[in-house]
Amino acid sequence: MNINDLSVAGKVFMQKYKDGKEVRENLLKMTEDPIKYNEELLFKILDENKNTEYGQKYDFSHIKSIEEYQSKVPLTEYDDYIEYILSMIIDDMDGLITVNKVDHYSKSSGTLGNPKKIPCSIPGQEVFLKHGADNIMALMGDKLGLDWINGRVLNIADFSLKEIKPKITYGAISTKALLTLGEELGGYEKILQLLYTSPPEAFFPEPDTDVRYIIARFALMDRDISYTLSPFYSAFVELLVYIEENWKLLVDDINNGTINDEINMSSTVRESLSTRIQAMPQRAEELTKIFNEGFSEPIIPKLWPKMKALVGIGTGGFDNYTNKIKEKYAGEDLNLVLYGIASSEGVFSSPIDINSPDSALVPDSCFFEFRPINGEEYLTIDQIEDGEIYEIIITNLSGFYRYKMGDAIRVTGRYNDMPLVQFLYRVSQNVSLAGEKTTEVALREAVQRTMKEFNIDLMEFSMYPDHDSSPASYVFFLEINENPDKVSKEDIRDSIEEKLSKLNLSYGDKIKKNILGKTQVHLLQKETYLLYRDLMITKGVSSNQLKPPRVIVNEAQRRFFFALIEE
Amino acid sequence: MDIEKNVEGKKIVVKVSGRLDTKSSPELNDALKNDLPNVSELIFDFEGLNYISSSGLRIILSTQKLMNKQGTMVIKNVNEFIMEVFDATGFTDILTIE
Repeated sequence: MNINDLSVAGKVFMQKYKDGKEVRENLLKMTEDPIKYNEELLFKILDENKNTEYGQKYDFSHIKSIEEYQSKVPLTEYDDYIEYILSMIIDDMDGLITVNKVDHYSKSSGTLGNPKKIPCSIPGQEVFLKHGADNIMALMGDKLGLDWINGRVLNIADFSLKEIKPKITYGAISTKALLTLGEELGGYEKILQLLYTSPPEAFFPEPDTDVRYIIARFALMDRDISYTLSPFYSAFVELLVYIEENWKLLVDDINNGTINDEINMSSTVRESLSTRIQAMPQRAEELTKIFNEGFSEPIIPKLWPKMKALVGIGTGGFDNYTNKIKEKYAGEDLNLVLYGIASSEGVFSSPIDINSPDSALVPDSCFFEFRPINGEEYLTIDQIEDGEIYEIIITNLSGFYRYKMGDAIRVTGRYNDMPLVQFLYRVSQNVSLAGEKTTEVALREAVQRTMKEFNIDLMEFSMYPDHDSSPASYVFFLEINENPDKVSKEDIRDSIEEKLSKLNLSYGDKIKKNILGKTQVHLLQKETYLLYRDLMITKGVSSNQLKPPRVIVNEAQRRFFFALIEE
Repeated sequence: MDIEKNVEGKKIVVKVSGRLDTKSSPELNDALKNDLPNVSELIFDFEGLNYISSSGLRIILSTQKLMNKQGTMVIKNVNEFIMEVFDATGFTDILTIE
């Protein structure tokens, strides 16, 4: 492949592919002796931070072993850092928890409350970019060849970042990493449209702009999209549903080079977008033919025949979206490139292969400890066992030490000596009203199996563990798109309860003995989860990070969902 | 649902009565679309509104976000039921309700 023949996007992606090769080779090398690299990272962090306030408090300079680290330094949660973080932000204080420069605070997805501000140092961002972007490019190149490299990407991310102080940003860590990449490439605004189908108006949206229309419209205009980047697979499904419902309007606009008056956006945005579009009667004719054939067969290969892969998070709570994409919209030919486990605190694992939910731990990103989900010991990367479930505890490059992530993972196998892992659930989303310990996975399975049995198209669900009822009981909230056989709420409830009883025998036993009360099901009004999403965005949560609350954990969420039950 | 609009210069009063639900929300959205770009003061009169669903709340939220940029929005004469919904969903922290 001659580099001079490549488009601008092709040249950029080729460079990232080459950078990624090095990252990938290094990752594969580290799989041969994970604890060596992970221990090296720990002592590098301790040495660099021995003179910080936190480092002096816990005597980092005299720690000589992992065991000593575990005995001297306590386990921590976000609240343990809040005073330091406030001093860093408000008083510009350095050297409190990290020597590394912190020029970004990541927004955690939060709940209905205010999002947290997670410090993200420059070295932390570099690791994020290496494993979250470069390795993905190399993986795709190695596994799929490079014939996709010349096309633009359908990117469904929101790039909004806020500056809380000059040159100190606040927002999603993935956005910050991409922004840095854009700067490296000569200016983000300039490069954006060459790499991605969507215009800046979709990435940096003004309030009340119909972003979904813009993303769908510009994606449909481009037949040669190479792959889709959807931070969570749910966003891609939402886009496809939007296209299914609005294709006539979209095609009409593409045909005429117009933007329908019904589409919400300010006149400034409308004028700006108008300069980027022109009538495309040929593409409109092609699209009309495709849409008239209906959605009973996978439509993605027809709309975008060169689309090779869907990149993003599609495991854990997003399984149902992944299935929907495969079964309804994409067929078997679209490759799934599933991100590893990442969060505002860093990237913990990175994929080794495509079409696999497993990912390898990244030993140069964080020092890892693992607590067996029913135990109190703290194991290192070389001590964890296949098939077992652990809570992750991290020490990162941004000033968090022995920080309880609250994520439960399962070890699913090995690549050389490196454990492969899958995200399972948030530990805080486990439910135990009477010692039954129901996991988020079991809740999801019970609901999904019920929906499949009754042929119900589910939008989303949440569960409220009702401590106040007597006896305590599980209250499910379901937003249903379609219920073609008009299955009653009572039948849905009985089926969920039966399936959950089989998935968690302790739950079934406690229901039988009336230690737990009869399960309840409430159907939510249409658009309730969209409203939840809108509200969270209004409160400042990045749309890239939004997840529906599987287990309702606070009073604000409880009141919200109870207020929006269908009449 | 019935919508009654009264435009005076840059001020608009929108009386909404009946049910603001999945079916009627697009109607309110359409009714506001043409007028909002030109106003700096929006008053919703909800005296006759007796039901609001998630889709109605989405319209109110997106309108509030728009008006934050270009002026003010006030909701008046909210009955007890609607107030309970606003309160439970956290809208009372976002809206100006008189």
